[in-house]
Amino acid sequence: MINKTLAPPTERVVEEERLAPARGTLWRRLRKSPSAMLGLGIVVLFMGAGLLADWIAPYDPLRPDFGRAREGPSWDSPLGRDELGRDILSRIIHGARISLWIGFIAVAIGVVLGVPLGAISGYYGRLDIFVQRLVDIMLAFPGLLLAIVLISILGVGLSNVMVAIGVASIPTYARLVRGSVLALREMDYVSAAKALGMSDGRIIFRHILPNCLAPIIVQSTLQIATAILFAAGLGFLGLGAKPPMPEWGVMLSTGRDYLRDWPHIPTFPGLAIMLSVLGFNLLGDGLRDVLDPRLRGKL
Amino acid sequence: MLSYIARRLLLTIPTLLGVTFLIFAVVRLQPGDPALEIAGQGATEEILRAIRQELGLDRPFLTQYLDFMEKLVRFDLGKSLKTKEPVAPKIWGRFLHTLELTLAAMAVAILIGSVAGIISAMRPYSLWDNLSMFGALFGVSMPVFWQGIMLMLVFSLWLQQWIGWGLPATGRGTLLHLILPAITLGTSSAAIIARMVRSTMLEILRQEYILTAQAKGASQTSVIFKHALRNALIPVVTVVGLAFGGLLSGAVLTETVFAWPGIGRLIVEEGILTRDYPIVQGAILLVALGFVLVNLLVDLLYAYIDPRIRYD
Repeated sequence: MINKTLAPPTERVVEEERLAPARGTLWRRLRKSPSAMLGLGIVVLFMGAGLLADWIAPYDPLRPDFGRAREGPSWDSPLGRDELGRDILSRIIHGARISLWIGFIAVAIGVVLGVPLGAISGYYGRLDIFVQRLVDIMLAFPGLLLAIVLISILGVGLSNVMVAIGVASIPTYARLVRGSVLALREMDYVSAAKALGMSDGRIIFRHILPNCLAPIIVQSTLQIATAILFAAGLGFLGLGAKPPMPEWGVMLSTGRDYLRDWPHIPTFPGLAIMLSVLGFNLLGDGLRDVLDPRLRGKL
Repeated sequence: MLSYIARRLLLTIPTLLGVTFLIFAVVRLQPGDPALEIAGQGATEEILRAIRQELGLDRPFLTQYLDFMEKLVRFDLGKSLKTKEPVAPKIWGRFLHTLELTLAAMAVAILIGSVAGIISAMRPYSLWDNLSMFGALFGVSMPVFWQGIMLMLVFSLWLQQWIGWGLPATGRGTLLHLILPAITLGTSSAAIIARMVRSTMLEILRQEYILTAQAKGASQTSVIFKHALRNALIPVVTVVGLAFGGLLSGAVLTETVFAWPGIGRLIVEEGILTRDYPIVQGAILLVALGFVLVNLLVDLLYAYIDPRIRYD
């Protein structure tokens, strides 16, 4: 960023000209995919809900109204009331803020730690074996279980959930980036940069990593979906957020006791989780088709 | 092949050692004093010292680890802090229950996933293809615990109300008890397998040998099942290995929903939430070891089916 602002005006213009059509193409191609646009729409909807929760939620998400406990959907409360009479729609809107926040923070942790680890591992052959064994060890704990192991160290709670899910995604990023770096390392422009006497750090961060951006962006979009699912799962298990917090997993977990007679209580929080995850998955798939057509159709 | 197996086995050793070390360290990294945890608040220093000595907490870290490893090879995972009973038999019993659920879910996933994937690939971009691929996206986006609750609502509670008979919703017992949890757990893997089979089939159907088969006058069914499917199933083997990990972690949630007495519930309810560390330690270790071994088997199987793999 600093480099860009300090660059002489002519250079800046050249750079912008080079980037502009690429950005335009991305958007134009993304717009052609109905499923990606649907995904984007859902993501924007949930992000809007999360950002504006204080203004658009019709009721206080935490204040009980025992007189209206377990009421079904109505004009007044479109998704009904929960076991304490709290408005479910308002709780879901506020829950969007929590879930998306977890998603973004967890992905940020994964990217900040995993990307350099993968880059170093791929670039320096000598460290590779060591880093890859470390990654192997982390990958020996399947998915949610790695997060659970971390929770058992850090303790139960919402902020620990973010850290646990973020750290659990480090091996995925490290593997992904390592693979790209291994291929890019052999490129002529990297040899040229070396011949010009550039430092390794500059080569990695200025020349190699920008070219790995596409898979990182795609992975991060899909990773937000995973983080939302994991966070809700941990909340459901009682290892994450705690009641009365309007976290979707917690809402489902407490609502499931009322399944027989008031099925609307656990149904809507689950739908919210599914829709938001679907949104990020659709968008991630669309981005992958546009950014990396070789992977089209694969998960 | 032999050298590949040997190399792959050798690479597994540091992973396994690392896993045991990490699990061992987890308990030592816990905030607070485990001795105080066991004895409870208000214990005298003398009692605490005795407990530390009994658990070996007063010895150097590395000695403790070696001691832990020595016990591990004798399948001694320590005693529960709550019941004072050895945890190994309990963990093993629960693990077998989880394995039962996981294998049933895997069967569901492979069956639904490959059938949907093959039909989609036979008529790409048709209504069925679009429907099943969108269904697959729903499958991976649906939280297992919510899906479980919804299936329970429809096939257990509502069915009971409508026709007076519903599927059992909780616990483990007959084969009927297995149906809802297995479908719940298997859905997201079915979705992943369906997408994988579809894309691989589509790729293979474009190959020249398929054209040759068609040119020779082979029927469409014969082309699909005899020529294409066998090759399309190769990548599925890897997905199945990966899916196994997903199933094991999904099992934690599925077990909680259906009150299935498996290892996932043991870890969370009787381990982490009650701070019974020997249970957490032993159970997670067993799951991780199982996962590493499955991946090893998948890699070897993959190399056996597709000889090109060994040369990379």
